[in-house]
Order: sequence, then C-alpha cells, then structure tokens
Amino acid sequence: MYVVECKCIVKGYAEGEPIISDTPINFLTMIDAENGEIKDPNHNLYGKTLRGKIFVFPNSVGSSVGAYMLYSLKKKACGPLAIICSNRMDITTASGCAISNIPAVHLKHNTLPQVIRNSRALTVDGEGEQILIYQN
Amino acid sequence: MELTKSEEKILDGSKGEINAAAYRVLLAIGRATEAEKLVPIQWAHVSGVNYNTIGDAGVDFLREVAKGVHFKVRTTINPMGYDRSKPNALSENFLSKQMQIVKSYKQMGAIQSFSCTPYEIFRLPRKGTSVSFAESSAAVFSNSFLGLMTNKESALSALASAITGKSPYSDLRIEESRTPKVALKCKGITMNSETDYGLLGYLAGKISKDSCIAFSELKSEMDMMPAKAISSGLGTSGSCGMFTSDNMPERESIAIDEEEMSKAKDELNTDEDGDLILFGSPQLGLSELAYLHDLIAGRKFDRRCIIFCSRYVHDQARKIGLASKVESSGAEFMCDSCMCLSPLITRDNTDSIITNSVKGAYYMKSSNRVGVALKDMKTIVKTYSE
Repeated sequence: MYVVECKCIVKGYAEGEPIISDTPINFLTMIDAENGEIKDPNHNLYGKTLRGKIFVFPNSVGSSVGAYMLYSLKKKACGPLAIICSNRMDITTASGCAISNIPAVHLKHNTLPQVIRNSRALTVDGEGEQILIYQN
Repeated sequence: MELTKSEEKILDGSKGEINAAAYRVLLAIGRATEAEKLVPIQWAHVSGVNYNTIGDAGVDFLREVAKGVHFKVRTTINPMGYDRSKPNALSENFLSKQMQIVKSYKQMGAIQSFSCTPYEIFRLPRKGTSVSFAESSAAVFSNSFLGLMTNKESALSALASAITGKSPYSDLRIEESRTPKVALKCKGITMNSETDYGLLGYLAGKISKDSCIAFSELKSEMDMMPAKAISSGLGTSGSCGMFTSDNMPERESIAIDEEEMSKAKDELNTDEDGDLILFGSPQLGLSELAYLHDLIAGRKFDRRCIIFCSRYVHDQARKIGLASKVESSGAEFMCDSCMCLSPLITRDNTDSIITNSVKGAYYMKSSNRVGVALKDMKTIVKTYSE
C-alpha cells in the first residue's frame, strides 16, 4: 500500500477509481451537467464520466459559475466521489465541493505521483490528510 | 484558518443552516488559499444569474438560500439571460426559471445590476479596499487597474461573502502577494487592436500557474477597451486574478511570440464569416460605444448586429443621444444580458457569429456551440457595413 500526503480542503472519505486529467478543467464548458461526462471534444477524457469516480486534475480555470456545476452534478448523483487537485486547490473547486459535501484535497508537493497515475483504486481520507493506494 | 468565537458559533449553526453553509464555504476557500483569518469586505459581485449557467439545481438552491438570509454588504449581480424590456421567443420554462433566480437575488437584497462590468457603473471604493468579485473579468480588471483587492472568486464564494460580509485574508487580498513572480515577455508582438489584447490575456491565463502575472514590454497606460479585453481574456482561460505591466528585471520570464498568439487565435477563430455580429463581452461601456459610433460614421450594417450592454450604460447613452446614433447603423441594444451562454443564440438559429471579444468567442464556441469569426471592431465595421 502506498500513502500520499495531502492537504484537506473539504473533509470526508471516499474510495473509488481515479479519473485523471493532466490539463486544467473549466467546469462550466467542459462537463455535461446532465450526466457528468466530459463533453469537450478536445479533452483527452472526452466521453468519459466523472460519476462515481475520484476526479484528479491540476486546478479549475475560467468561469466562476463552475462551482454550481459541482453542485448540480451532486444533486443529480452523477458527480465525482472526491476531488484531488494536483497543482492548486482553486476557489471555484473548493467552494463547489464545500457546498456539495464532496471531499476535496490537494497534493502537498503540487505534482501528481506516479503511484496515483498508475492506480486502479484509491482512498481519499480527508480527515487523515492522506490518499491511500491499495492496488497498482 | 482561525475563526473568531462568534464566527465559530455561526459555523456551528447559531444563525441557521444557510449562514453555517456560507461559513463552510469560507472555511474551504480559506484553507485552499492558506488564509489566516477572515476580513470584512465592502462589496460583493455575484455570478450565477443566467439560468443557462446554473440550471435547475442552481434555481432550487438560490430559492432555499433566499429564505434564510439577507446580504450584509453592497451586492451587485451578473447578467441574466435576456433583455427584460424586449419581447423574445424563449421557452416558458426558461422565462419562469430565470424569473425565479432574479426573485431570489432580489429577496436577498441584491442590486438589480445585471452587469459584468460593475466597475463601470457603481461608485468605486478607494484603493486597497477588500471586495469579493466572482465575475472573472471584473475581478482581474479591479485588481489590475483599480487597486481593489479580490481573489478570483467563484459564484458560491462571492455569494458566501455577500451573506457574511467577509472573505479570507489571503492571496490577492494581501499586498505582498500582488507582486508577480513570473513575467511574460511579449517583445516583438504588435498589439493592433482590442482583440490582440484579448488574445494576449487568453494566452497568459493558460501559461500562468500563479494568481498574479506580469506583462513586460506592455504599456501600463491602457484605454478602457484594451483594458477590458485583456482582463476578460485572462479570466476566461486561467485561474490568474491579476496582472501588472511593470518591468522588473530580476523575475523569471517566459517569452511568447507571434506564433503562439496566432495559435491562440486559430483555436477560437473557427469560421471566416458569420450570420450575426455580437459586441459586448464584457458589456460595452460608454467609451466603447462612442468608438463604435465613430467607426460607423453613417454606414449601415449588412447583417444583424447586437450590442450587449448594461441598462445603466444604455440609458446614459440614450440620454446623450449616442444610443440612437448607433442604432441608425441597424445595430440593436440588448440590455441585462451578455453573449456568454445567451439562450438567444443557439445552433438551431445560428451557424456562426462574428465578434471582437476573445471571451465571447470562447463561450460561443464551447458552450453555445456555434462557429466564430474573431475580428476586431474596426475590421468588423469595415467588412460588414457600407
């Protein structure tokens, strides 16, 4: 088992499969509010869903309204189980997660460790400020 | 982040669930930006007004929030979906949901500004004042040109600050953080128009990982039009909330060139021509309307041209005779709203639009899903009027 330290922004605990974006996310324009799918055809995760996954991305960019997207996804039960920001936890993501009770952490060293990239499942433990990776 | 005893109590529910939720948001963004404490703010500008941007979940959320609270500080709001004074063909569903959103904000005490350029309309607090601006272009503009202090807030964080009158003391609210670590060297790039400034901002937003960036080799004195264009370009693509144009040599610098500028343009400029001309993202101010009027000089547009501006600016322009002069070109005003995610422009009624706005181009392309011809205002008037 691997343990990666993180900083807790919104408390909570979640286990699931990671879905990783290497590029920043504009929640308003890139995500389909109806089903949680990445709808930007230029994104490498195009057509994949955030539903039930642990969403890993550097930070969000662009529209301030993106925070409502996280809330909408949660209400429709098609949002991510937890969020890990690998560059910085921006205000849009943090506030969206806070209002939607989505556990949110950011990586202490601002880089995405290979163990997370290679993992098939991981646990976000907000309270303990750690990410646990059981299988690789 | 340390909360005071009274703040802790509110977080624990002493003033009800909505206030507690507002403090939960402030706590999260305080942690995210490594704040030590909360500080009072003088003004909140909230986004999430157009039904197209927040959807049904947003409508229901605001209805609940409005039952429990009243805004503590001056609160202005972003554009909604359409012009209240004009007939439109929008669905009953859109109209009723939009009216519910407006009602909720009104109930909480928001000024019915429906503008993304509050800094052009309202009395400005003095330099160094903490505010909470969600509209990204307004946050960047206010930090960079007006000396107001705001982080690049989200719709929900600005709402939380409107409710509590507080924001985390962090990042761009601290004087020392407002000195950029990285400078973009734009030597050799010719800035011919507002659209070039928009593209430069858009490119900088993609490059910058910090909340403040410098443009070296850029004039610090800027007219309103390029200033609004660069601010909105930066806000659209990045998480950066401020820029400077000072020239400090000791910084890390990243060079950008014409090629990168034209790549950014190619990304947004998907068509050579369009059915409809759109101006006003951000909404046009008086000086931009006057410039447009000078360019038109008696010519008439050969296709539909919509100008988005706030009702305040429109009414002032009407009073001084500018609005009717601009209208004589065939252009029409659209108040209270903005082109970004406008329900009036869809793939069903429009193949592609023509605009001078980089921000407008981005949202038209990625949210409204129509083609975009990106050209500066001068070229647009020259090409599409006679």
